[in-house]
Amino acid sequence: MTMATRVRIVSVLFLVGSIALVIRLFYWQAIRASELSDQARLQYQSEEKVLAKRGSILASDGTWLATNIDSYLVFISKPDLKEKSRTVANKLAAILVEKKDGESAGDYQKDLLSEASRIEGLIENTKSVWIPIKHKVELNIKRNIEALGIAGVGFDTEPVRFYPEASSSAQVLGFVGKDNAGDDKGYFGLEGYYDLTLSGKPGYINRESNAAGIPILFGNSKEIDPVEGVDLTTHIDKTVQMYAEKELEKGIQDYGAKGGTVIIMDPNDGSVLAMASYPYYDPGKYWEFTSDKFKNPAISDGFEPGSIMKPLVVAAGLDAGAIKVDTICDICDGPVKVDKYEIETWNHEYHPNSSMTDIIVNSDNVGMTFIGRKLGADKLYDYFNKFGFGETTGVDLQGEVSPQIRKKGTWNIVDLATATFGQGVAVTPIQMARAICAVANGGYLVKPQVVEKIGKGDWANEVKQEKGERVISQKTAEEVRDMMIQAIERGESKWAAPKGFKIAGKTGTAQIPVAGHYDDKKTIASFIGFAPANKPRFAMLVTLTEPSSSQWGSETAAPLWFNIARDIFPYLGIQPEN
Amino acid sequence: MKSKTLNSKGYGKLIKRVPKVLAVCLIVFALATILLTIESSAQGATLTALETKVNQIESQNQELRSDLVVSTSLAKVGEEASKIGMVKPEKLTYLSNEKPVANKIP
Repeated sequence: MTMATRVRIVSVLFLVGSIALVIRLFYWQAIRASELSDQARLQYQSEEKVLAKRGSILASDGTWLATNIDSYLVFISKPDLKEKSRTVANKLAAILVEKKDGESAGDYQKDLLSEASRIEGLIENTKSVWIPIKHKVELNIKRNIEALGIAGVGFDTEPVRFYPEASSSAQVLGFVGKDNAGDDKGYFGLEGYYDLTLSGKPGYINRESNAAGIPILFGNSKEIDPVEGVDLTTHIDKTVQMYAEKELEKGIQDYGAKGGTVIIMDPNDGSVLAMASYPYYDPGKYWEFTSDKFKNPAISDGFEPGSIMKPLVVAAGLDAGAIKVDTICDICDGPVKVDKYEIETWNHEYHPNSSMTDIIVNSDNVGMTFIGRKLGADKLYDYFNKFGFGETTGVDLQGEVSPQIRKKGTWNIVDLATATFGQGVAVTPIQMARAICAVANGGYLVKPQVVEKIGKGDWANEVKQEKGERVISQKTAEEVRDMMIQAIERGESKWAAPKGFKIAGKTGTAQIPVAGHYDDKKTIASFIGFAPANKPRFAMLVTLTEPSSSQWGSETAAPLWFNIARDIFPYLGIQPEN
Repeated sequence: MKSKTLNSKGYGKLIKRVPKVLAVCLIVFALATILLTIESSAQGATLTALETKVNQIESQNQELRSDLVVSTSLAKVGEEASKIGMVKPEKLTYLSNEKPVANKIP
């Protein structure tokens, strides 16, 4: 082979090599450019979503009802362990397992051994060098583990929603769960109603880092700070709430009821001071409870109110001019026939020529039928409407419902008669409490409000509370108030009332409709009232579902109401009048 | 004529100096890049250290806040109150706020 041929072959090889190189370079630089660029970016660029802190829910005194705290994940870094796995497991188990109330020493030992063997198994059998041991460990437990100084044991923070009062105000607060995307979301109560306000807006960090993870200052970076959620300051008074819950639980046990509700409001502006329901749940461990416990019966359950409706029907009669305080009932001497039904009094005792006050004091169903006849169905419907029945109150809690009231013009004489003593119409406890506030405050229908202020740090925005529309005259409100005072001083519940205090109130016992008829033995016992009667500081509704010791409100709900009031009087500085 | 000869010589010298100037510029540029990289890396490390410190302080702050939240709960306050022997009064006595008759006399 001549020299010239060799040179030519080498030249061709160089040419082919160069063309192959250019093609390969084109492949990497043009065809797979974006893919490679993405891979490179993954190595030097980090993207992170910065979660916004959820706002806290505060009681009226500024202490916490719900807030965020850190819990901890206890983990073991296997290469850093210096002690035997069994020793580490025993040490950790001794702190992680707490002795439960009433647990025997033997059972506690069993739990300890079980936890120690679980931890040892994890250390021995897990191939990974990083082993998670226990999630959501509390701060004091973390501190105890730290004090042991076990090499190789570490902690990662895990933010959790914390309810320091546990199950207190559970149905008012709601809880924080997860949505479909795995983000925090509030459900029920305040957590649900104010979810957007409490949630804030997450931030974002995008920056370039070197191989060691140290940020490159001159590299591309983009940061958007998170907007923290806003705090809610509520009207809830923790002390009043505690009194209500404690007495409600005791009352339910004493009277053998299936459940119960207490609502305490400031009748002057509609502030909700306390709202308790039983059975309750712990919002911090909501997953341990069935979903039927989550809804708040005070705003979500309709019930036939029974005789606690009577003061409102009398108010309607007085305000419409259909009756006067000194009007005499001329049918009160015996049962009254309405269509094919006979209306009787609750104790089968009759009071001829009763005044309107006597009708309230004796809780006289015949007398109420008399008032209904004077007033008429359409006017009664109008006043029910004015008192807010048939529509939601607008309370700032998620899950409020409103039972429907039969349409105007469709009421027959039986509907009218039964509605006057609170049967055949359904309301929610919050609707009832709101309506009685109108009697207490001189005639205005207030809007129930749980949150007082929305704010963060130095900024705060008060939630405007409107006085509401006048629904009855001042004179009517005062006349009904005086009748309710007489109902306490002379009525069936007088034995339980605290002496010396002027309280306006009314008992109620309503039969529960079951499959189209009323069950005599199943009742909702209730008591509604306000105090001090002449200058009310609070209005309160107590309902007990199916009390078994007595079906009557005067023997169950009334003493419970008075017990709560006895606690509240000294706390609010309310003195007896004589 | 003289100046033309000088100009040619000057250009020649200048052309001879170009590689040296370029080399110096290259070295200066390389040194500046190295120094800048070191400085950037050092400041990045400082930033990381500061962020770690901020996280530690925030974590301590959060721990203190958790202590405060737990210790101000009614359950905890009640527990502490009973530990020091405080009990709920069984019977309340109200004092009249009316002034005695003698005080009303001017």
